[in-house]
Amino acid sequence: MILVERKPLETVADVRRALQYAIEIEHSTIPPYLVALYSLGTAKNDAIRDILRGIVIQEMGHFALAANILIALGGTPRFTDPAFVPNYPGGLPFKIGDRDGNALVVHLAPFSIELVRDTFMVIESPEDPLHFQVKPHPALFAALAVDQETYQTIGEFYDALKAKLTDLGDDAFTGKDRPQPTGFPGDVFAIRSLADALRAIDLIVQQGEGTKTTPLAGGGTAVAHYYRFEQIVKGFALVADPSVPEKYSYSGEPIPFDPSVVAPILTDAKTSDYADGSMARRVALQFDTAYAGLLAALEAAFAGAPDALTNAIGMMYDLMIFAQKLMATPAGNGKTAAPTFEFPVPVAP
Amino acid sequence: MSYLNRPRLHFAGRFEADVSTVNNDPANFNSAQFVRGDDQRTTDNSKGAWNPRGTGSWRLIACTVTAAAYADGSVAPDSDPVIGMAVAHNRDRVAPKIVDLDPQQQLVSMIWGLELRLVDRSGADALRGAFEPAAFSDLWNRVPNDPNPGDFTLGAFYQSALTNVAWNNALDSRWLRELRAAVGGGPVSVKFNVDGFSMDWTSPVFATGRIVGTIGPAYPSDPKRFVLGRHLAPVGQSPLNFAVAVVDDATQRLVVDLGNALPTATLGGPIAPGTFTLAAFDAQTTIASFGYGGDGWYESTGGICEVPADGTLSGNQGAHIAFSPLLLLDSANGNAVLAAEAANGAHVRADQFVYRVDAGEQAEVNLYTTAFGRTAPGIAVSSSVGTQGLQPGGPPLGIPLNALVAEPSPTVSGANGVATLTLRTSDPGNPRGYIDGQMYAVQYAVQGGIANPFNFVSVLLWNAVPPVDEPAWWPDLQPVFVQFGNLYPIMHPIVDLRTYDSVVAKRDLLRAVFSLPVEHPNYMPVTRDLSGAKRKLILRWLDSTGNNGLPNLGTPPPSLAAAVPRKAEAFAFTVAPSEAALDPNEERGAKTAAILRIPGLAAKVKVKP
Repeated sequence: MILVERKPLETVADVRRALQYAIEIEHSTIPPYLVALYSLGTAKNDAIRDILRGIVIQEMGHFALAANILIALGGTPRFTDPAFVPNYPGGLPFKIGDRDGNALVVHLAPFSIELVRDTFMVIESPEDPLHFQVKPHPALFAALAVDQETYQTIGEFYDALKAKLTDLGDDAFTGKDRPQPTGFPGDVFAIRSLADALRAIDLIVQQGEGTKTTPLAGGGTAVAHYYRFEQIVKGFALVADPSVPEKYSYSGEPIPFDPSVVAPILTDAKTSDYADGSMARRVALQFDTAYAGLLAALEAAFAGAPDALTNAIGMMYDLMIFAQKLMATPAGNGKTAAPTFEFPVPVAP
Repeated sequence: MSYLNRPRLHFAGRFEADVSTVNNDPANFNSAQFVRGDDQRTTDNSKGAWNPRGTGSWRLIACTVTAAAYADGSVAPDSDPVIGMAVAHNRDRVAPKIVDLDPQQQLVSMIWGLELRLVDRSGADALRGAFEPAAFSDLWNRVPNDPNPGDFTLGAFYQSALTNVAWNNALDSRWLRELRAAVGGGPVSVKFNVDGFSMDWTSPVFATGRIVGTIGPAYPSDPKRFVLGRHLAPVGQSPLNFAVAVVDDATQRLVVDLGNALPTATLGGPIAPGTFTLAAFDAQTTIASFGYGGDGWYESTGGICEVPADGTLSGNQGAHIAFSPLLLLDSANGNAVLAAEAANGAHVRADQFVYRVDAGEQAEVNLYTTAFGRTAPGIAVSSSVGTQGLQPGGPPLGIPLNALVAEPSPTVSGANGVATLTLRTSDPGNPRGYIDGQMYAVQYAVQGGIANPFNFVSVLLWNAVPPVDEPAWWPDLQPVFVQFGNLYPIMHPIVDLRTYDSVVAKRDLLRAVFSLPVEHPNYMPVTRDLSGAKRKLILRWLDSTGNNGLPNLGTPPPSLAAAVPRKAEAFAFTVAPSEAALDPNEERGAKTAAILRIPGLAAKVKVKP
């Protein structure tokens, strides 16, 4: 469970701001997941890679659903402000800490079981994860010297958003007929009504956290992110298991991890870390430029440009190729370069 | 009107050509013989060649505007915001692509999907336009003293027009205002020269080279890919390459483009200073001398000289050169003739000189005839279909000869100086076996015109594809996808085109990219060597649902039925042991190899065998 800053939620303008904020939260999880995914390589660890890839795709879908709700409310999603891009280490916007009172510092790091357990599962953690009943820790608020009026869990944030949207009703959806991209990774649909918006928010929350009674998302058969990650930590798939009171257990197919093929990438690499004139600097700049271009293409796609989504999806694959080039580029001390996810300075000197 | 007219600017920097080289070896198209490891790097143009993990991407790197000239002849001061602007490629779509026409015509590498931008210091586009796809021309060995010439010593030029130009009105640049006024809503002319390419994969500048270019106005009716001007060919043992000049009526000067005509002593190095004398009619009838070269000169001028440098052509000189062939003389060597226009001033060139045509389709070639740089009506252009200029050594070229007819021959230019040649095609079949269709070269000439070995039309004519009611992976699509998968290994981590499961899992993505216009940088296949007929077949197949809702699977041939289904292969940028032992200094490159395969070409382009 992570906490996010409580925002005023009175007017439609407040709700639009909150949705932009939701987009930034959903986006901020993607770079750390992608870096871990890239670092796994392609030779082994197929099952873990499938889990990570599936989660990244759904996070992209959450990003798009939040953007579509914002469009339907007459707003305009913005992805090209340099402040949109999180700074790692640090990471999630507006985030202050985990349930144990520790500030959650998110790194762009190579894949490890510890990374999944100590960061990814914390990001996706429900307030009360099934099987691990842990109450919100009062020490969190004490340690960070913040009060509960100021911060809320992501679940609470989305609950408040749903309540306010319900309060505003269908009339607030003045942009419901505007173009909304749906041919996007993940389960993305257009928001034409309050009911669509509520369904989208439930999907976002449940795909991440499951529900209070099941590890499955949205009444389907897919396991929520938190439990998908836990499968990696436990080493076995989570499957229905009538023999235990919880009805599910980590007793499915093995999910083995072979650390030997993980690329020895730098953690929290910055483009400026690489020597001027080096191959690593050159490719990192290209990566950053493609990342910024991807966000620009997405912004255009959500602003109604018909071809921009194809361009954006094309650039996602370019990013992957740049990442692989970086991971094949030595960076000293037995390490290789790594994807940077920074906003590049403008191309002119 | 072209980049040689004012207002014009010059830019310099580097370009990246991350070409994919597995398809340089025609033998790699033979999927029956292609085995795992055939896409590993080598230094002899076989197998994977020098950059098997190339993406085909073409990029501008750290290119900036170095100088600009206003319409009135004055030089733009540094206070004009255009000075120092970046010249950049696509922002919000994937990088442009650089693609050969065919493994047997590798000397017309073409840039697709480039959106060229002038970018100010805040990152805002000042000018943006679509670069009409263009191939390089006038390839030559630009470093004649290099003891081991290879692709890294070659130089060439690209020229095209930017269309659909978007202007940023917010930027206060006199130069941009003048260019916009000069072109109205029309196209902008761009020309750039490339040289000093690095093929050393251990270097941080690997797969990049120097680019120096010029941007200026264009007329919509003018050819995009060459200057309608006065074309000079090197004479005898001249160290120069082809050059072009125009008379600028506004300034009463000759503007001579030596950007791809002057050699360098070192790879991508400076052009040594010197003096040329321009003459007309004969070497005794000199017009003016002018200096060139020196450190930074090339980057800040694009190699373009105005003659006379100070002052203008006199009325007599103007009248004289209007009807006399231009000659470029070596001032330091007794005014020896280095380059000359045709004695009768005749010139012809096709604007589009690379064609990809489906069997049965027709295409038109516009041939621009000029005399002393002026539009020349009523000129007969003869032509012939054959293979001269293509690269022999692989499967047979140019047969069946009658599958491509270029007519009429001769074709005569109209009042606008344009002679039209119609390419009529029929099904060539598969004379090359494992490479689709056939390659042809259409040579053309005017009486007395200069001979340029790159001034001809290359045609890739695809074979017809028999109609298939219900296309299936086996037997219809598997050969197509396996070949692309073999030849373009960088795709493996995205989709392993050699396996049904991987292709089907990505069918939405594939449907999208196979449906894009060929000019789009995300067009698939990147190599743009898939016939329209096969592309339609792929799209129909992707929409089929005969395999439990998935695209039709069909039945493998008996020889393959027992084989274990192929699992998607791992892919890594990491270097295989066989590659680690290679010496990049042994690499000469596929362009040089292609030049050496064409009888008589090496000497013409100054490549020592």
